[in-house]
Amino acid sequence: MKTTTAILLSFLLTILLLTACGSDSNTEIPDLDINNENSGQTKPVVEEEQTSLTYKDFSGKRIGIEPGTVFDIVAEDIGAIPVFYNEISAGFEDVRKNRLDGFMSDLARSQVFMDTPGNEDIDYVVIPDYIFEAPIAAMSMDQDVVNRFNTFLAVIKNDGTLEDMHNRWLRTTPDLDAPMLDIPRFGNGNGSINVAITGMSQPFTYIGANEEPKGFSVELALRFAAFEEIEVIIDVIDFSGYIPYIISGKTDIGIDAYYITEERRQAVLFTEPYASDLCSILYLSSNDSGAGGAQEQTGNGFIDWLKTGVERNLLMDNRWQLVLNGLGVTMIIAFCAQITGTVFGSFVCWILTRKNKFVNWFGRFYCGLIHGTPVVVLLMITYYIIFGNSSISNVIIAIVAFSMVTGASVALNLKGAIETVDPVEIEAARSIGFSAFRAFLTVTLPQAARRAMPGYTNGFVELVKATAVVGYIAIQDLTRAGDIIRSRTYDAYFPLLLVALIYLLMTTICVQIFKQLIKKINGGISL
Amino acid sequence: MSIISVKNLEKRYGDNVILSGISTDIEKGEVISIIGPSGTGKSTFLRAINFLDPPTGGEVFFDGEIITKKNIDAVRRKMGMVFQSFGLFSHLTVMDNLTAGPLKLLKMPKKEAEEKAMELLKTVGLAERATFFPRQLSGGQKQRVAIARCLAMSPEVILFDEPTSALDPTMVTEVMAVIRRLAKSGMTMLVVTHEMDFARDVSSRIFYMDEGGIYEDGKPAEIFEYPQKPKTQIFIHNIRSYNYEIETRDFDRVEMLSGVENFCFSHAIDKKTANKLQLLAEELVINIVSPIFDKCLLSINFSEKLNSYELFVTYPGENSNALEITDDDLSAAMAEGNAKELRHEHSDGINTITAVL
Repeated sequence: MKTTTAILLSFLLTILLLTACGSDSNTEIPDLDINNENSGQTKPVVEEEQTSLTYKDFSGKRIGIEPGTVFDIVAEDIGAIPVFYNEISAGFEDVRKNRLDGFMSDLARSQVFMDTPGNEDIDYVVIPDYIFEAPIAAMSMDQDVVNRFNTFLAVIKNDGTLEDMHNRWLRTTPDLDAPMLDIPRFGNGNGSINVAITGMSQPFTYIGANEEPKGFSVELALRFAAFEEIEVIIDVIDFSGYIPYIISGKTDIGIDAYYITEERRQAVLFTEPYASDLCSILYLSSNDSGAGGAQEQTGNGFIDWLKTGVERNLLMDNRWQLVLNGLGVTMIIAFCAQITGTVFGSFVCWILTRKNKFVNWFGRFYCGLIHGTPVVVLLMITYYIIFGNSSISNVIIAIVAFSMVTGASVALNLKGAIETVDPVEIEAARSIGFSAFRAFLTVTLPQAARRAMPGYTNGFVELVKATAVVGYIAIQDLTRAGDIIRSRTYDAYFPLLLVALIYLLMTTICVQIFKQLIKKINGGISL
Repeated sequence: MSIISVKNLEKRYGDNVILSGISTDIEKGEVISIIGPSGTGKSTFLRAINFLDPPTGGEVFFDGEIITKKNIDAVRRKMGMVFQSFGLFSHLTVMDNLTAGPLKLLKMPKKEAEEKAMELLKTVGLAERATFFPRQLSGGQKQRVAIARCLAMSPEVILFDEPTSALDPTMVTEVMAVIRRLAKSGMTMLVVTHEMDFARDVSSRIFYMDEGGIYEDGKPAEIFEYPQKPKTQIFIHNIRSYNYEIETRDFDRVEMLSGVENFCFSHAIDKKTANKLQLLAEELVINIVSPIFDKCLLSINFSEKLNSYELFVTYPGENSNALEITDDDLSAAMAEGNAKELRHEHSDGINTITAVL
């Protein structure tokens, strides 16, 4: 247990250091900018008056954008260099660290981002509509669904509902914590529709208190279902997996904040647009005001940082529930995959120890294939190709995918352990009269199991960490919970460190449990 | 009826024939030593009998019943085997090693199995090691546990596959003592061994194996005193003599001298004679012959006729007595003083210096 404490202590120290460094750079960079001659090249020249900056000032600068958007084209149009970031909060940290000059996002999201506490040092410029204005529409693979949605859109355009939604969500900065309008929900008596959202595009879609999906697009989806008097089921999918999710027909319609582009039109069917958006560039507004937000973090030290972090990322909107549920999902997937993977791996190991050349080759081919492929790719293949047309729950599909991975490593580990057993012992057992199978059970397995245990424990830790990619197939695990919180609070550090700490705690506890287990089966003797 | 009957047994690996045409009958209570040069299939023969390496031809009968792959597990319960490298179950205690078979195969009650195991451990002198794990035992102790484990199944026959070859010389005695006692108790045994004392004094019958089969089969006195066939004669002669070939004057002296020492040890030569043999080897080979002639051969034999040991140093070339032409007069005098008789002969281009003790 000593080592555990040591690990935890060093981890906490790292957090302290990290936050200290992060805060330092926050406060120092503006000072440096004044003196640094090169700052003009890496950062837009910031005038005393904020308003004087226009999009033209970003020509030749490095601009962060999210993948899966069309902003890389816009960035090129205005002569900026696009740099890809998975999330706006991570990207903007780099703006604060002077690695980026700005971050490009749609206007609606930029406004929300700017109004988030802690982001008072941020300002934005709007790219004029003659350069970029994109229609936002829903996507589907089903022409019938598209037609029905278009009919619904025509109705709400005529009766002013859409106009009212625009006013409430997009033309002003909305109160994201306010409850959603009460829209009647129906059971599946008249059928149901699956709607995919990312849950990470405030104000279009985001996850509110008690994991409730909220936002402009969510309201639209609810209204669509109410209009057709059918049940609505909302799936939350990570950005990276969103379009494949729709293309594979895993959902009926995707209603989020996706622009109509020619490229996308090749792959999916778009409905009529229900909104349009402008593009904007977020940047660090000025030296003086920039310090404001950052100083709030640093001036009061680590304890305050922790306090606001917990308040904003965990207590507000009961976000701790998101973390807790995510932890549960991660554990369910990891434990189930470990169990089924062990059974499956034992079978693969049996194949690997066969003398038949073809069977043996097949086993080695399988292990090589699994080991040589990134886990996330395997997960996607399992989800979209192997189980492409089935309605099996995503969690079960993830368990299947991770069982295949665990199976391969358990098989190789067990095979290695079996090979360490002295063949003379097996012969001795046979010479007493044990059959081959009983000699395996009596002599080989107990010894092999002991020797495989350290590798097995290690494999479980690897598995727990590998499950962090299940967000790709619309599962809300621990990592994804952290991502969702980040997408609301735009806090680059706290959710990450929190999630890391929970993973560390979980794996440490599991390793201890495994160790006790090993001790028990070894009869108190460590082999 | 013979307890083991081997009919026309053959064992081959691909085109490589190891054993062929072996037929023999083994009666209850016989103690058979299987001797012969390495690589003549002694171990393979044992392993073919209990099907650890199933024979590729011929038949083996146990108690009149033909052994097949189907009934082999049942047969093995009555035919134990002791291995060169022990094969103790390393994850089990000594006690559990002994009771594993009786509990799981013979369905013996736990209490009875443990009592019997304890009894057997007492007879091999390891009762106080019952709770130890194999890795906590010495080699000799491990082999004694392995023998006890075999006995726990109450076998009718035990096959020993070079039971002392992997042991330190100091541990051979303790294991051989157990095997000797077992032989005297009337257990039917087949022992592949290099312990000629055991083969001569304890066994009731000897298989000399060569040329892929039992080359000569007889009582110990017949094989050791009057071997009939040429290869047996050479083998018996060789095990009673020591030969060391010297190629250059910078040969490995330590190896030669320790070889002489080992020969003396394994033939139970008394301390005084052993010292003399070592001294003669040192003076004659190292100091007198090899500095002059480079190539020579040292042999030590027991002469039945003289009832004494003879030491020969032979070297090729014209008639020339190294004892006379050497500069090392002191060594020559030392050799003279330690041998009862010291002479030089020359015939067919070979010089021989003979020292009789």
